[in-house]
Amino acid sequence: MSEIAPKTLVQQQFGANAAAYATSAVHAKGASLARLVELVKPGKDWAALDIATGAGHTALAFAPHVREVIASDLTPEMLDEAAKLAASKGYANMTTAAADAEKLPFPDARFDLVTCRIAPHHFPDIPAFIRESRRVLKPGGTFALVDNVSPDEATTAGFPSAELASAADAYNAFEKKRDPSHGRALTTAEWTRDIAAAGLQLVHTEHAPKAMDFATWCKTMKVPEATVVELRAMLTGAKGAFAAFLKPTFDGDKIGFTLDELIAIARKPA
Amino acid sequence: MNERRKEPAAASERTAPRFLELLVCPVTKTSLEYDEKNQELISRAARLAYPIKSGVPYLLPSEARTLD
Repeated sequence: MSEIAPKTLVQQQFGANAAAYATSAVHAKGASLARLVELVKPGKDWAALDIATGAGHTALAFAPHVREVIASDLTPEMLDEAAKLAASKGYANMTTAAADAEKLPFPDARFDLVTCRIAPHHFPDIPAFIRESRRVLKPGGTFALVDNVSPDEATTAGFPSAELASAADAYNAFEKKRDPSHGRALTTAEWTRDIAAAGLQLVHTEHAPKAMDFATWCKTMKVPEATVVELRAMLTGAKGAFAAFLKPTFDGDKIGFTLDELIAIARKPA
Repeated sequence: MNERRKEPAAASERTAPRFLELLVCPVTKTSLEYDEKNQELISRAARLAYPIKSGVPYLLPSEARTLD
């Protein structure tokens, strides 16, 4: 398989669903977004970069607090949505650029803050993304990450490690069935390892459980009905660590489950 | 053809969108030349021309035109 394939998939998936993401409650109002701003404590004179901005929700959350925000994404249709949202809110300090998270078109030590929220699980090479983030950060700059994580000890304690590893595979298969552009959601331990390996110092982590409505989750990605049936079966059949992680709930036709977002703040050494 | 073209600073400041100055070639991390007429950002080092569409620069090697 060609190495461009995963990124082409991402562009197809998000190009077609750009408007749905602009209005997505999870991406716009997720509790982790306000919490991220609170944890980062942005400075008025900061230059910020939001990687894989999607419809720009994270870039727009930081725009009122900093001097400038660059919103970048692999998918140009998403940037159109981001620019429209910025214009509607009157934020003139946000600009957009189509860029690859693993090959950033910015000079070394340019930004005080690099953010990336609910996106790296699409990236084929997460270590390359973290290394590029470190490169474009000024010494002492802040790397602020939010992403869905796979189960491990940090989210789902009390299971043997082999069962947790199977649950992580099952969770990624569940996500990939709904969205073919899903790559792999790392576990908390993998994020900790990769952030340190890229030369950033982890200063804070926390987890934000996120209650999902199954029907809405499928609708955002326009999942075909046959696939919805398969996904539903994965939830009803969930056992052990996989069930303990997703916590599926069934209330008549209404199905819910819980995802886990990792919020991680790291610094580039001064 | 290797002669370096230099535009008057005043002209490029007037025409180049402000944020273009912060962009580098994603492949070589070297500076880019702004071609206002063709709406492209040129990387001499990578021999690639990145398009600017509706004011948005596309700094993706997959979107770039290879220079002769």
